Amino acid sequence: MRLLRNGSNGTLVRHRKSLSKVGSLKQVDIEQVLAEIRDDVAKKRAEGSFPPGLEQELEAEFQTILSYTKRGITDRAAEIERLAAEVRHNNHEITGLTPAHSRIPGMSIIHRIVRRVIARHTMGLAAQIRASEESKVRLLEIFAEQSRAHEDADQRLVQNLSKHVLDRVAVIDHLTILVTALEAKIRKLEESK
Amino acid sequence: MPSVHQLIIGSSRRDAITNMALTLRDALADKYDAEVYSYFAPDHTINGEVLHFPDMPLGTPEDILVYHSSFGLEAVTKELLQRPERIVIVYHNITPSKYYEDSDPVFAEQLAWGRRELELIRDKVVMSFADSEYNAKDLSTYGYTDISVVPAGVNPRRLDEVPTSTYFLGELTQHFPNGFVLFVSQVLQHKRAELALEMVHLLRSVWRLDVGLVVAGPNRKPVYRRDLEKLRQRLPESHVLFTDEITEQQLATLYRSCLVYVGTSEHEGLAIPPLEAMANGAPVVVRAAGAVAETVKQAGIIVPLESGVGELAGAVARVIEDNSLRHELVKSGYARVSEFESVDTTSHFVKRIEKLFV
Repeated sequence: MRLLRNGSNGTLVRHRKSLSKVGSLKQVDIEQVLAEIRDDVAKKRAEGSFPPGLEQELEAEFQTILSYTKRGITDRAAEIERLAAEVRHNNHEITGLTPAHSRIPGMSIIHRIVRRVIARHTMGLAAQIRASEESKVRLLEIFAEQSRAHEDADQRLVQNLSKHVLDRVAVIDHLTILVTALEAKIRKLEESK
Repeated sequence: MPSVHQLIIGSSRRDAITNMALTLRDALADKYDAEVYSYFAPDHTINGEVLHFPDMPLGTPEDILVYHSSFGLEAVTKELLQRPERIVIVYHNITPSKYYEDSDPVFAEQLAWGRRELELIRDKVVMSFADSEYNAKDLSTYGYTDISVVPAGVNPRRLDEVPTSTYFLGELTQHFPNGFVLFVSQVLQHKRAELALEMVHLLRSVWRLDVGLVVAGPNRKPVYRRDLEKLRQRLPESHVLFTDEITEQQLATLYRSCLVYVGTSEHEGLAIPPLEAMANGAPVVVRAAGAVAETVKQAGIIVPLESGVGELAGAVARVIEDNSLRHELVKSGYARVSEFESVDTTSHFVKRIEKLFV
């Protein structure tokens, strides 16, 4: 099936020259081809190999995806993950030690002494806050996982539901054809009587 | 020596407008001081050939500034209005903003500004060009008259001298042992790449053709690209390869080895990829968006815009399965490219510019 046209590395020109010798081209009747394509598609639909509503289903599928973009919800799970990363980063900066520098001469030494005196307590508090923040991070990560799973499940559910509805519509379409054929047969039988 | 510099918004080796501007520059350089300037800094693929706009010297009222209109930036409009040079506009079409209002409002505003700019600079424009009848008609709605329809600088055979990459071809064969359909475009929302994905899903699930799809083009809108990725995951039969940015050699290899080139765009001002596909021997199936029909003419199957993806898949399947039709389309494609090239659009452009200096 695979044919490489034009060869490679410079064979293109020779190939084109040989084509120019073919002579006048048989004009393809595009309108005729298009009409045949339409017939072929219609036939496939009638045979049932091309389920009715399939194109609409495909279109609806993409519209669903796009609607998330239109609402600005490009990726909620990613947004939650970004928040989690931000909280984690900030967490590292909670040390319980405040800067000791001062513009007033001699005050820096006092600040340093006070900081050292109360460090036992402030650092303990900082550790408690960090532990609490770590829980928040974990919580956000769980949210992100849930959000991703939820989004997928929702989309799968809608997809399955649409498929079932379209299958039913296809069955009804098929039944309509059978009923019409049956009616025609009955009419013929009645006429032959 | 008078100057005829050109201004484009962005530039890259793979960008059609950049290539057109460079071809025109080469033709203009014999008679004028001619350079191509890009408003945004030229990317690494073209750096040195295209210069950065801040380096553009200020001309005189005798000089010409050829402005390639395809987008809108207020800063550019301001420059165009303040500079002393006379303006020649080459209109490549501006995508209607409606395609991006929901997904990318800033981009939509810039597109809308591009159309506003057409009105604002009109009085400074001394000559107008459009690269298709479709674009000329669009430009005329902004009060422009006497528009020359010249696809100046378009070279569908620019890849002729580029060799096929046997390594890349091997990879493609491994990935798609029974061949692939090719979609070439920047991955932007109005190009409707999702239709190509849906189409390949139908080709495999309804027509039972074991083929794949290659979406070849730079990823301009990551959110849209992500949406396409999601669609691919949800369609079990969409056998797709996104190449993102590729080299000229890879592009030439794709054109030369695909089963069919498919175009699904909703809006096109000229449509160069179908011409390049034809020049490289690929049969073409496209949707009748904008200027596509006048570009492709009878050399490809043009599916009406209102048709569904089923008809598009039907057309591609027909070309894959019908060897005779495929052969005829390839031949018609070569003939169409020759017809397209029969008019020396670059010389025509230069001759019209010369008239401005008489």
